[in-house]
Amino acid sequence: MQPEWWALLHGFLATVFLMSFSGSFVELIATNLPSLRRLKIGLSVMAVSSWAILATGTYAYIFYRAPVAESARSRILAGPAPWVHSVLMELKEFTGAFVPVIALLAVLLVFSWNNRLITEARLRRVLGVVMWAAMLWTLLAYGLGAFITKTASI
Amino acid sequence: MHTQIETNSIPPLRERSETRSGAVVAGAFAGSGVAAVAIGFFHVLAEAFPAVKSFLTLHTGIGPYSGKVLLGYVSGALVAVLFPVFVRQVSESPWPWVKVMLVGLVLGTLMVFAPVTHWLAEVLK
Repeated sequence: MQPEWWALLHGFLATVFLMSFSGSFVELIATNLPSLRRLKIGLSVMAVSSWAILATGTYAYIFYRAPVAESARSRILAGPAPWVHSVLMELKEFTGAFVPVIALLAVLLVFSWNNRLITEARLRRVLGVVMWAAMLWTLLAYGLGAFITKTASI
Repeated sequence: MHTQIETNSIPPLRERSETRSGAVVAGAFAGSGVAAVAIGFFHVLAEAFPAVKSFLTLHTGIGPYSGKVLLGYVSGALVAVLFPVFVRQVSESPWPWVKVMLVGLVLGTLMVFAPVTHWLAEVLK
């Protein structure tokens, strides 16, 4: 598969992640037994997609940083805005790596607390904070990725 | 009499199970924060010392990023797994552990922000 397709898959999976966050968050607001089941599915989709985003992104990163003049990194560093790589890309690649850990934590919480999420609002609030942390760090990586791709695509 | 003393010293099964579950959850929160800080820490170390950068290059195509992230995840996983083994009693409220995770995430993010990374690397050199 061409590097462009990997990058496309990477971005598509990020969209799946953001959509599953929206669905999961709605289920968290008014949790009952059926919505708890959907919450478990939604958070599992978030976790699986975040690990897939990391895998596809890391594979696409090989082409991005290839030590040839045509690679995106070489073009950015040789261009008028080398800080796009040295500051933004550095930040993007690592903040993106934090997200699968947070998403995995959210899955552990929903399966560990299970029915207690229906009766205890404080646990729902904690899970909400964890989900928002995953969302915010994803948005940071997503936004930086879009900006970097606009500067030089792989 | 003997039976009575033994019964009093052992917490009810449900209580023990909840304490264990609380420690597992606390360990997972702590592990998440530690993973982020460890990734940032390995990033700073690699910037400061070329030997560390070379050591962390587990895959030539991916570069030192491969070792930084893998070892960061391993550090977080170790904390998450070992925490419930060594810590049996945890606070009923998960909020202190949420704070540990959030502080870890913010510190990890700052450590991979280039101006902060370079400053920390200069301090370490």
